[in-house]
Amino acid sequence: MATWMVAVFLTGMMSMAILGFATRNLDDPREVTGWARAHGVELTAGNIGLVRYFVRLVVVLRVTGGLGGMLIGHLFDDAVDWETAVGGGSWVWAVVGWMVGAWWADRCVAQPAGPGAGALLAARRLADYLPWYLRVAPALGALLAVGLAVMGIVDPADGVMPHRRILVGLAAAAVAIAGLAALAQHAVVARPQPARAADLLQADDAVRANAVHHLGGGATAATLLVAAGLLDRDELGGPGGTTAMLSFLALVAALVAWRFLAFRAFRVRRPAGPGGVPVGAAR
Amino acid sequence: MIIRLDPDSPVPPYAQLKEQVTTMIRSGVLAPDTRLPAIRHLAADLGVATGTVARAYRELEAAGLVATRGRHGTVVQALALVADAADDVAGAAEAFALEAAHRGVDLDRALDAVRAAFAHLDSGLDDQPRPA
Repeated sequence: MATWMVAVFLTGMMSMAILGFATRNLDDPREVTGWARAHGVELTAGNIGLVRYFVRLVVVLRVTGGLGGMLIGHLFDDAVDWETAVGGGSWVWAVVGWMVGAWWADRCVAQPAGPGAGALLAARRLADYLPWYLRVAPALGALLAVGLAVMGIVDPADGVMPHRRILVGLAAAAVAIAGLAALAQHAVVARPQPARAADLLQADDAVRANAVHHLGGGATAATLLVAAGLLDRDELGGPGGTTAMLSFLALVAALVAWRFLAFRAFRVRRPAGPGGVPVGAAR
Repeated sequence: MIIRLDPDSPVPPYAQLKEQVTTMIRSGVLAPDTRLPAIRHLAADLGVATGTVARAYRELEAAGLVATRGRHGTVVQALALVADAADDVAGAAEAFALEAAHRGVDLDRALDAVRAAFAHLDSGLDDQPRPA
């Protein structure tokens, strides 16, 4: 399949998704109740303000981040005279911007610690907010990209002189995306969680889970996009257009990861304390 | 399971933290092998320096109430639950002394309160029906 067809397909799908989110009616109360139900948050007078603010803010910041990422990619290319934001590269920048938007929204709703605020005496781990496969998926995507880059350098297609700098650069970009996403996820888990009320804690946990899912799903999608770009390069050109087909599959996998991993609603379950009372529940 | 520090208390924050965790462990609210939050997480949540939480954890470890297990973090020790009665009373007395100091009550008044509590306990026991 021709590269331009893949680009048109991906551009169309992503544009439809972004437009769909950008034009949602965020004042619709069903947006808030739907989000809360999906994340297992019981809406109360104490937490509905936080949830409503987050649901609105996160959509705006993610879309703004995605569009801003594309723009920054082009500005970056102009500044350093590279070509990172052409074709699929432009979508890598968009996904990274999207992830920054998701992370920023989480920072915006963080409750400040201070006098009078309590703390839950329970360990917080990334595993509380993210399933195992989404914790390893970005690393696997980066590993795939590194493997493809190494293959392109060590064993290029017949008659093709490998562009080592480009291959290494793409692999480094995938590793950097996965690494930075992991750092951002740990920062989300580590940010303060003052325990003022059980309903606020529940909403705060859902916000965190949402942020780390977007970071994990986004990083998986971005690393798969890089892998797709590598597979589309001449250095990896296999017989009968095999690598072109694999490149297309990697693009589809990136889209699936972005849609179904990043947007997966996750219910944070706290371990039961004495008497089966969930840790952090009002007693 | 919620820790609260009083910024206006004369008791230092690390001692308040240690006392509250001690009470939770001795009362069984924190079961053996329960993982305590990471030092920097708890410090961020409470809005205190990491050194404050680290000192409280160190003293809890020295008291045999918690143990540091490498990457598993700080966990509640099972030994705490099988401590003998004298240890329990000593722990309760320590918690009481901290609470009294926290409320600005001096030793004499605190001891008066203990005597009154014992007197109340005795009168309550006297009221119990005696076996025939």
